[in-house]
Amino acid sequence: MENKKKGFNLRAVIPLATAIVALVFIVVGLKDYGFWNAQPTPGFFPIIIAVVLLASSIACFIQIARDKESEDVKYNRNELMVILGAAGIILCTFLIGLVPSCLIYIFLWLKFVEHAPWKVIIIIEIIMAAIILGVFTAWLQIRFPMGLLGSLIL
Amino acid sequence: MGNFLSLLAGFQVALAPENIGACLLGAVLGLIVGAMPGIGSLAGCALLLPLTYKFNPTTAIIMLGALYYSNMYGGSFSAILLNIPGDSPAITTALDGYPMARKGRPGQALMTANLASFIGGTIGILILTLTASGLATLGLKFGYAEMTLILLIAMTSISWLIGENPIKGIVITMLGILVASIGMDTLSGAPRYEFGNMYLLGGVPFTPFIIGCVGFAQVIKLINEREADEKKRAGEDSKTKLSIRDSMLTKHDLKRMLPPTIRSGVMGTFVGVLPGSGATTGSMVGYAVQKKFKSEEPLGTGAIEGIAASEAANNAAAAGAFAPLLALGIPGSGTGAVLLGGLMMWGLNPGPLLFDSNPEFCWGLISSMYMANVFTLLVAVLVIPFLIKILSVPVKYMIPIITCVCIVGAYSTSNSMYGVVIMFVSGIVGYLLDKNGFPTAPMLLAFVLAPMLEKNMRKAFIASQGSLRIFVDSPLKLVLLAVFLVLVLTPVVKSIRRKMKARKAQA
Repeated sequence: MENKKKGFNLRAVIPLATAIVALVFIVVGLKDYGFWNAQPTPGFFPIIIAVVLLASSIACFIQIARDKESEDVKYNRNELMVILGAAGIILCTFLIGLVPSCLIYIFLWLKFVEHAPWKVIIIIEIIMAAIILGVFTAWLQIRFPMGLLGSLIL
Repeated sequence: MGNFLSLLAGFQVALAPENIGACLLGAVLGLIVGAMPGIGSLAGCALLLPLTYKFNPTTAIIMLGALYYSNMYGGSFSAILLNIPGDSPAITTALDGYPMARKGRPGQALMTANLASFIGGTIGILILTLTASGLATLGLKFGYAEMTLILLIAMTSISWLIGENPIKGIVITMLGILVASIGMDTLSGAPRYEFGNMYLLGGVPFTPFIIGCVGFAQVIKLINEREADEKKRAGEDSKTKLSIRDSMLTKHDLKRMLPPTIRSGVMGTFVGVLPGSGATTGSMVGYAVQKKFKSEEPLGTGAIEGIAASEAANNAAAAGAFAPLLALGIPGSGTGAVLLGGLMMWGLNPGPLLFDSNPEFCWGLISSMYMANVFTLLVAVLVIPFLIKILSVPVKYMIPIITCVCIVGAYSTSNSMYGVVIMFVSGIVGYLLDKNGFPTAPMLLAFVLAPMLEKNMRKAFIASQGSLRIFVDSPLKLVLLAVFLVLVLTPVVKSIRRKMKARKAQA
């Protein structure tokens, strides 16, 4: 019985969020797109789906609220680090461009998070540079953003 | 005879040099990605999807088909050598594959998996060749109402099969449909739910959404597997060496593996054809049925029969899943949904008309699967000596690599940072959903099928002037409706029965 919860169950956040999404789709759909006007209008299908989503979200919320046995979801710092790392690449892309951001991120992650040896870091950097520049830039001819710095230099 | 001639014509398409090259490339990449623990065929196909953009639609889909197919082979490698299934269909392979490797026969276990995959896959493709166009002809007789019911069945069945909680299945399926309804109305083309954002006018782009939901969400989860992965690796003999010669099966081994392989191959194909099932269900059913038959060693202790049954069934199911995908436009699994999305991006609309409107494409794809099966077997056998190196890449080094591949892949498919942002957001949403026990595969399937469902449902209502009778006015529709209702009501009845039993037990 150690796992019994005392307060708000974090698992209930998802059905709450989906219920809000459903409500937004119902309200916006009814207000802007209509449901039926001699024939189904653009809001017809999403509104039906949103109503089902709302009902199932409420059922799911009740189910979770009644479930006193299962443990709460645990989030940890490492997971947040992966998310922050990707967010960092996106932000840095606007400054120094996408390709340098990716390569710098790989270096920083391997060196300071994984404490990988230099040999491993160099091998992975070379392989990733070859994939990004060889496959995507040269072969698929993707023009990656250069960022503010790239625009200033070129 | 007609199918045979069409297949021969298909081989003319598939044997074009660029198609052979694409098929071989797909086989190699799929095998490598599939072999890496923790990625799986769904994430593998999503991550490699951008690579196919360079080709014409037929070549691109041939490469994608080979990728999907070889991913199934690759999943068994880490299951056998590390006891870490590369993908969920390989879970049952690990049950006997790993013990067999521990008994000093890792090469033979790999060879059994490869041969069983090849034979099971071949059976699946043969059945696909014989049935796909017939299924498409049957599909031509379906009107809007029948298609609506079939699509509802497809969406509902995958929600029930994946995960043990049907309510969560419904929530996730509905969410996928709503995400797909953002952008333009499917019939009138009018803007809808774009919330004043010009980027959302074009809808949520498919590939970045898939890469995020599956690939990036997987990376966030992978970080928790670092320590377990290192512990497992520490327990392995890193000096294990494999050679093709030492991996050859004896006559006795072949005699043991053939009956379960053929049996599971046939059964797996039919499981794969069912909407909502796919390779994982195929391998589970194949393994469960093998338990009813005699094996020389008990299953779970390193029996060749167990590996053969599991691998033959999952590859056969992977091939069988192409029948409803091509003929009716209904994918059988999350990976099938990625393939369907890929087909749609190239302007090909899978469904009953595809065999008539694009026969060279359909038969080219089916014949390329024979080719992919042979190529993958060859590559899978040749790669045996290098497997230890492929599998020795620790999970912790894969995290920054896959993160960058997700970002670069998302950018390359949309040529805009908008794609990267969609990938990032959907990755976080996919991770949160997964963490809370909401399976993401039904959401992907719903996202892909939603426009088709909406179009058919609205046209059915327009034709019937709003009357619901259009869904019950023929025996076929009644049967389809009954199947749909059974799928919807079964979990509810089960839940009530479970509660009643629990109350009785308490009393």
